[in-house]
Amino acid sequence: MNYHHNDELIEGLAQRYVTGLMRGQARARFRSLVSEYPRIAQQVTLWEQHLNGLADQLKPMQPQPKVWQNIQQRLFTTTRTSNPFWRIFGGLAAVTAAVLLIVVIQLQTQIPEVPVVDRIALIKDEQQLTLWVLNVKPDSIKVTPQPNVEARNDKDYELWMLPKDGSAPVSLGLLPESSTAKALDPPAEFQLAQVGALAVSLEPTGGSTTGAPTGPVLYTTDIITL
Amino acid sequence: MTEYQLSKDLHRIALGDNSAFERFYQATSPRLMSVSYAILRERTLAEEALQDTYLKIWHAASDYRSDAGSVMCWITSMVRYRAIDMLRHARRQPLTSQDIEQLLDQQGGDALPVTAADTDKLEHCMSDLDGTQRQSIHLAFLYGLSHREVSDYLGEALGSIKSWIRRGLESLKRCLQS
Repeated sequence: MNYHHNDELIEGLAQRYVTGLMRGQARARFRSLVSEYPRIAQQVTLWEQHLNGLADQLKPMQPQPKVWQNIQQRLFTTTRTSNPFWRIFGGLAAVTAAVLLIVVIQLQTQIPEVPVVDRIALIKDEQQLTLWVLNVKPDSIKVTPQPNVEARNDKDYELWMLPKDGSAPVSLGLLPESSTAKALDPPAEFQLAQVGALAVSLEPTGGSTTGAPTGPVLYTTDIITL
Repeated sequence: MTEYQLSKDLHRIALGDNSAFERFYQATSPRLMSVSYAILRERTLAEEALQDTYLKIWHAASDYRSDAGSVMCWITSMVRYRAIDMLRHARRQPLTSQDIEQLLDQQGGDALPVTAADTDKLEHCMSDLDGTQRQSIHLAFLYGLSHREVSDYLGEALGSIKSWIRRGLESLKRCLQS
């Protein structure tokens, strides 16, 4: 459909978007049109200007103090500030307003004589829904996608390692979107001790062809060792 | 805080000034919280949406352009859209008239004069709409109700609600632009 040529259609969609009556997939699709077509963005802005004043009728409500504390914590107590790559990815990630939390849990196995350490990373979205479970070994990563992953026909999710020394991100492979687990075969540069953090970007089908992330970085990470 | 001060602080935030950010948060969060809460009607979720919104404000402060409306308009959209996206995961109780009374400011907003003239005009134009149109737009815009929920709440057919809202918005636009 030629959205950008039909004024009446654009206006109707902008109205529904701004009033909140457009939901789900349609809303997500329309949002991408807003960033693509200035005329659509203009209509959205116009309706925001018309209607946002309605919110003046609501009684102001004080949020709890912990909200501000959490904001400060999420902004300033991550590895992001110390690594130049975080600044780049942080900005990109803000655009999508998504946050990834990777929790590295060290699990001791039950054989006391030969302690084998497994690392598990949980990739969660901002609503704390787990998207992928990563079982990380020194030379391999097993990924199990969860039902919350939004499957994309036209794109792939690519996993990147951000080295501790601030050198360029290294691709660790494409993340599966369906329910079957997949073993990634990371390149030789992948060494657990060198992983500063992980990031997930949205790439054309088949992954980035440039060796660096090209699409939006959807999730960036804090690593917490328990 | 005036629009001028808000936009000055926003510029400082874009440069990484955390004390400007705190001032901005103190001045704007009670309003954004009320917007978020009216849509989500659950405190924890509303605060989660608020948190995400301020993180976005911190990162996107340099993207603000005054031709996209006032600062207040810009951040109101941010929190509304975040809250609407979160509705998918929220299990809300149906809206009651009591909810509406609780959420509405009886004394008139004291926190943030957006631009009084615009607000007056909006109020005037809203009062020109017929009752059902006005109510449908309020229910959708302020309380995040879907077409279906508005239709259930008002006990009117879904099709009528859709055209009421559409026609109401058209009249509102004509009045605001006159």
